[in-house]
Amino acid sequence: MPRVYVKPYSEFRPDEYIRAKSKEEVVSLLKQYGEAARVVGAGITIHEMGVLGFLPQVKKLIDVRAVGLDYVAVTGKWIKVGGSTTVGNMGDHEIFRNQPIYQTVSEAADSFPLQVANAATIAGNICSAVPIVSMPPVLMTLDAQVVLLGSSGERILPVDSLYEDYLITKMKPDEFLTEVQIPLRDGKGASVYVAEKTVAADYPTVSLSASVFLDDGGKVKDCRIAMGSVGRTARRLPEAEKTLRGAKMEAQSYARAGEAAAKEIDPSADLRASHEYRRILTRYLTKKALGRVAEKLGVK
Amino acid sequence: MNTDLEMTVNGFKTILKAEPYENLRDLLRKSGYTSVKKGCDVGGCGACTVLANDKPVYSCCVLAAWADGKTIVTLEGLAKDGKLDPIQRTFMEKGAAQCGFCTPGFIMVSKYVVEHKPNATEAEVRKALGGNLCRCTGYVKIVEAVMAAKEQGLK
Repeated sequence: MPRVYVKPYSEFRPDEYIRAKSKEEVVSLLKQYGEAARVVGAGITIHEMGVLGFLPQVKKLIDVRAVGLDYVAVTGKWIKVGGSTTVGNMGDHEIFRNQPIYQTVSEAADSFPLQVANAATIAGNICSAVPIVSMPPVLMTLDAQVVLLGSSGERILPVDSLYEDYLITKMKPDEFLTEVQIPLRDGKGASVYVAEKTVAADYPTVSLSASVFLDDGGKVKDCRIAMGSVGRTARRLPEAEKTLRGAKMEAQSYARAGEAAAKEIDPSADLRASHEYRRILTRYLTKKALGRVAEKLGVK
Repeated sequence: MNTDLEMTVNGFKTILKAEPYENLRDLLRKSGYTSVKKGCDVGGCGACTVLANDKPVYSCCVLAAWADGKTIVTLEGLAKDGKLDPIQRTFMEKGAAQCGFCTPGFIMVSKYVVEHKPNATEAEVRKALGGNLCRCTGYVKIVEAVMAAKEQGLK
């Protein structure tokens, strides 16, 4: 298993800040510098991880702002979000704001402090692979995928299978995230984001995103539940989802899903919560999230 | 290696030199804008809040280079011709400061709220101020100050 060696407060001293002018230039710079280079948006995660001593190897910062990846576009089968789009702008887009199927995105974006949402990019939120950030679980519940551009061309990975371990993604050193793609879906569906925080500016102690689709008989046709802060990476909860499929949206189903969720996670303890408390929160948030989805779907 | 950054700070076009790893707060502080406070260093307290292109950001956790080409406003840029900004005045009138360390950050977010969300309810104001911590006032006076500034702004 790959390990991350953490030396607290080791020097974070990149010697160059490079403004790339095209995607091709980003790829060639990444190929040239390898592990010593890091793509940077606003630099929020990079700065924090740098201060905490996670990035002593990083010597070149590659700014991708001029590459033209700041957009939200609804085209054909997909909602396409450029990697440099800020979390705030993404959440304010009308499709995420107004359509219940994708609303978890806006709700998660609103949970960020204003000062972070205005600067943090969606690519940074995904690629930092920090298990406590909000967007990866949200994107997992929407079956999103990411487009990675590298020296051997483009490839596509579902967000669900992007993470290898704590702070480690399956991206190659010469790859960077250009676009997030969320499939457009029809049907009677809704999604929500819920989280518990110590204070509003903090990362969530536990965050959970859920999306549910009902069939004509009012039973659950399809559902996704994903969480942050309950393991070494953001993750889906397949067992909890299984208990919900085919079930009615009612209190017993929520409780069953909550129990399954609390069983299948492997939370760690830190200064925000013990693992036992994270299990309690998981049970509670699962019920709360599913209750709110039911409300949105008009289930009484 | 220093990078030249061209930005507009409080209405003045300037070129500031920053190291690649330097954050915006350190750059502003060493350039004389000391209203930008160093609190927690990792985006948890809001004392370093400045407006970048009219939107509040934590200047401690964005890189200085991120602000290249942007318009930055710090607390120093609010008063015009010796006259305080309405939000500064209501903070004074309502007694919304005790030790004052968090106040510049609070005023910058409040300025954004007053200008861009003039119809915000008290709950929405509280939500918008969620990214800032104050260990003295208990927030009541601060919220009162923002509501008062909003009302005066509507007149």
